[in-house]
Order: sequence, then C-alpha cells, then structure tokens
Amino acid sequence: MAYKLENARVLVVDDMPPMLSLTKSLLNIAGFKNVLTAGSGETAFDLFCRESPDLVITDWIMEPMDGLELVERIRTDTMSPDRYVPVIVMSGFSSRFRVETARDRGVTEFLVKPFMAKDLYAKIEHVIEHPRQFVEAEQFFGPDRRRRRRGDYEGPRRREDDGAYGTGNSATDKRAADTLRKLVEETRKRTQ
Amino acid sequence: MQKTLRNARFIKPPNKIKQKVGGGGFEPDVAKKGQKAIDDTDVDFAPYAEKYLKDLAEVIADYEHGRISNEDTRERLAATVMQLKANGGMFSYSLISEIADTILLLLDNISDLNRDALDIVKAHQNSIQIIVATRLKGSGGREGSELVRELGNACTRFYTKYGISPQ
Repeated sequence: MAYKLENARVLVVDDMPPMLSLTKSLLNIAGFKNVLTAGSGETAFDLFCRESPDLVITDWIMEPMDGLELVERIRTDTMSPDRYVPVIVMSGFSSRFRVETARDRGVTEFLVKPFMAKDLYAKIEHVIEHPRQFVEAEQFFGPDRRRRRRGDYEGPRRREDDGAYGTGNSATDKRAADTLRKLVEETRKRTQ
Repeated sequence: MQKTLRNARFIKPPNKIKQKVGGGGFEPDVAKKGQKAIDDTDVDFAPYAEKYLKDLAEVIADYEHGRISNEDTRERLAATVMQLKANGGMFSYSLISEIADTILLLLDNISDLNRDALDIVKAHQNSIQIIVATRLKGSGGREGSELVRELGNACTRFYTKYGISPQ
C-alpha cells in the first residue's frame, strides 16, 4: 500500500514559470492532487496563510522576497498558520556555506538543482518519514540543525545517456564538436 | 512533547503530512515516470539563458566601471551563474550547467574578485554565450568534457596561485 498523496496539499514556489510547471507536474505524477503554485514569495505567503499546506517546496533566489525570507515568515510571522511546516528549498547553490545559510534560516531540506525526479521524491519521503524536531532559542526558531554536515555538490551528473549534443543530426553534431574544440583552444589561451 | 536544554526549547511537532498520507512510500514506477517528464520537457531554455547572460554582462560592466563593490559583484554574479547551472541542467543544457557549476564554485570560494578571477569568469561566460548562440544542447560529448576540464584547470591554477581550498 503506497502513500495516499491525494490527501496532502503542497505549495510550490518558483519565479521561473517552466520550473514551477515542471515541479508541479512531478508532484502530480507522484500522486499529489492538491498542488498550489506561486510565482513569488509574497503570493506564496498569502497562499500559505489561506491554505495551510502540508509541505512547501520553494526556489531560493527570487525577487523581491526570496525563498529564505519566505521560510522566515512561515516560521516567525504571527499570521503563519503552521510554523512547523516542512520546507524544501530547491537551488543551484551547493557550497557548504550556502547550504548552512539556508539551514540557519529554518529550511528543513535542501535540494540541489539540477535534480533528477528520484531526488525530489527522496527528499519528500525523507520529510514524511524523518521529521525534524524544532528548536526555539533566542536567536533561532526552526528545524534542529544538528545533523551531519554535507555541503558538497549533491546533485546528480544528469543524463548520462543524453545525446551528446541533443540534435540527432550528424552534420550538426560535427559543427557542434568543432565549436567546442575552438572553445577549448580559446579557453586555454585566455586563462594561461 | 517538549524539553528544555539551557536556553533552547526542543519541540516535537505533530507530523501532519505523515498523518495524512500514511505509509508505504511512493509507487515503484514514479521515479521513472517523473524522470521521463523531465527528459521530455520541450521548454526552450535559450531565451532564459540569454537573459541570464545579459545580466552577467551588466554586472561585469558595472564592476569594471566602479559602479558596484567587489562583494556585491561576487554575490550578483553567483546568483546569476547559479540560475544557469540550475535551470540549464533541468532543461536539456547540461553542458551549460556543468560550466556554470565550475564558475559558481570559484565565486563561492573567493573573497576578492581580482583581475585573474574576472578573466576566468569571462572565459566561462564566453563559453556559455557560444553554447547558447549555437543552441548546443546536451553534454557536448567528448569535446564538451574537454571544455569543462579546461575551464576547471583554469580554476585549479587560480586556487593554487592564491592558496585556496575550494569547499
């Protein structure tokens, strides 16, 4: 018997429309029926207050309110209907200090982009099966940060079976290979 | 459900999502179906990449004309390069993603954007520009790997010269 995902509500936030749409599709494919979407941090917080979703998945870099500011509002704003909601932040950042910054602002899990579908589902499963206790201290409110440190690039080296150039045309592929060879030479000269 | 340690209070909130979805995990074929949706997406990333490249060029120009600080420049470059890495990789331009990952690591490991660092950033920018202009999707095969390696070597020489251990 698998998860009854149709019973849960998820809020996805991303200011890049194709990424918002793709993430929503991935959740629908998994079985989530109630997926709310927002293209900005402000809209997301309004939706969050109205709908009180069970999980939030948000991009980091957005303007004017970014994903970490959204997390802070969810955790500390008096309007927030659920300060404990799990929040997964998706980002291309993967340096240790960036991941720790996100964690220090109250993020539950960090998903490095680009990701594979199984990575997203694994993070969601982790949130469901391994909830984090919360810490309320003078300077911090959020999921307990005492966990193994892991800052290196976590994302997959994607699409190993990818076509090298994605054209499916040998003449175009040859031109692409020539372009790249020239770039290698140019890079060598520029950076010696 | 709560315990106090020194000045911190530990709270074990109810697991609302678990209560709603129950147990059993995801259906076994979900990851495969999801990956197919990613691989089959027909989103054209090139216009987005062009916008990010324009932003990158503007930040570099602002910095070279003394309009923004070294620190702001690094942060703005990192944010833009991160978008190329993240979204390029999600939407079929994995070579762009690899190149952007290399330069993002450099930007996240320097405390001063000096002339040497800027030259490396520009070499990466130049490569990405040409890849976008030629709509070169995928990994670029052997030549793509060689390009990534060459750019990585440039970063390694920089790290060695300035005694940096990238994290």
